[in-house]
Amino acid sequence: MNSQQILNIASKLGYSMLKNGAETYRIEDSLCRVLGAMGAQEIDVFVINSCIIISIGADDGSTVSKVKRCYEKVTDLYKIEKLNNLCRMICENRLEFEDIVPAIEKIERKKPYNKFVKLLGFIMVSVAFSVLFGGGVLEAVSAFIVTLAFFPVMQAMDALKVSLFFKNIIGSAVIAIVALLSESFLGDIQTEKAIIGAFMNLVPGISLTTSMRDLVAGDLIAGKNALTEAIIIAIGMALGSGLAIVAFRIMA
Amino acid sequence: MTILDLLISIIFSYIASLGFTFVFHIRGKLLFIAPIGGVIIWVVYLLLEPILPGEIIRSFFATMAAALFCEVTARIMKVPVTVFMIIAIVPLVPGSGLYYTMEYAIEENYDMFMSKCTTTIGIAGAIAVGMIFIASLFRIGTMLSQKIKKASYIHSYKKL
Repeated sequence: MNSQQILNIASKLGYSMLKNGAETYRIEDSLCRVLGAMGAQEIDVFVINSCIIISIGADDGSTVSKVKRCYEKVTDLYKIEKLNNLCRMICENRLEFEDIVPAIEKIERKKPYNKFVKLLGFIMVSVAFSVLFGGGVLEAVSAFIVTLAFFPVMQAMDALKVSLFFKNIIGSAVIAIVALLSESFLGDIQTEKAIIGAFMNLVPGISLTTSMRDLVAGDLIAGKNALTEAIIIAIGMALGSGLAIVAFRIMA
Repeated sequence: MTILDLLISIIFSYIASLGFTFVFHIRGKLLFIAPIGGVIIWVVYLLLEPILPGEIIRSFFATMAAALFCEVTARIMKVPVTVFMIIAIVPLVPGSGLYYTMEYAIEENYDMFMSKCTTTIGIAGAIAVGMIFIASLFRIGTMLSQKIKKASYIHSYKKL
C-alpha cells in the first residue's frame, strides 16, 4: 500500500465519523492512531466541525495531503460506536488492509431508524418531560398532539435544507401555536408544561455536550463553533415561541 | 417527596431518555443501558433538593453523578463516552429555563427575565463544568495507569 491509498482510507474513515456526529478531538486522535498503525510517517490531522485536513509524508520524501469538507451532519450514535470499534481493530492490526474500505461502507449502509420510530422517540420525550415538569394527564395529551403536529414540519424543513436558525424559529412557533390551540378543546390546561415538554426535543443538548468536551480537550476552535451553534438554536427557539405567543395574545 | 413521586420520576425520566436513544439512532443492548444515565441525573437532581436548594449547584452534582456512570459504563463496554453522555445530559438541559426567560421577556418583567436568564446560563455552565470535572479525572487516571503499566513492564524486562 502506498501513502495515497492510506490517505484515502483515513479521509474516508474521518469523513464518516464527522458526518455521524463524533467529536473533533476524537476524530483527530483516532485518525492519528490509524495512520500510525498503517505505517504512515509525519502524520498531521486537523479537524473542525465541517472540515478534515490530513497530511502525511510519502515514501519518496514528498508530502501528500487531502482536504475533505463535510456539509451534512446527523447524529447517529450507533455508527459512531461501530466506527470506533473499527478504528480499534485497525490499530490492533486485526483487519486486513483490503477489508477496511468494505467495513466502512458496510457501516455506512446501515439504514437509520425510519420516521415512525423517530416519531415515537419524539412523542416519548415530549410526553415524559411534560409529566416530569409537573404536568398532568391533559398536559401530556396536549404534548402528544403538539409532537404529532411539529414532527412533520421538522421533517419537511430537513428535506428543504432550511438553515438551523430558521428551522428552530418555525419549529418552536408551531409547538407554541398548537399547544395554545389545544387549550380550546382540552379545557383549562397549563400550556407551558406541554410547550416545555416538546421544547426538550429541540434544546441544543448535543451541541452543548460536544462543545464542552472539545473545549476541555483543548480544541478551542471546534468547541467555540459548537457553542455558537447551541446559542443560535436557543435564540431561535425563544424567538419562534415568543412571536407565536405574542401573536396569539394580540388576536385573543 | 413521597416514594410514589420518586417512582413516577424514575419511570418517566427513563421513558424520556429512551425516546432520545431512538432519536439519536442507538441500537442493540445500549438502547436500554444508555437511558439509565438520564434517570440518574434526574433522580439525583430531585433528591438533592432538601440539602441544596440552588438549581445551579444541584445541576453540577447531578451531572457529576451521571458523568461518573457514563465514564465507567463506557470503559466497561468499550464504547465512546459521548454515546452515554448525550443521552444522560439531555434531561437537565434547561428547556424550561429557556421558555420562562422568553415568557418574562414578553411580559416585560425584566427583573424576573434577568434572574431566569442568568439561572439558565448558570445551569448550562454547571452541566459543562460537572462533565469536564469527571472527564478530566478519568483522563488523568488513564494516563497514570498507562504510566504504571509501562514502568512495571520496563521493570520486569530489566529483571530478565
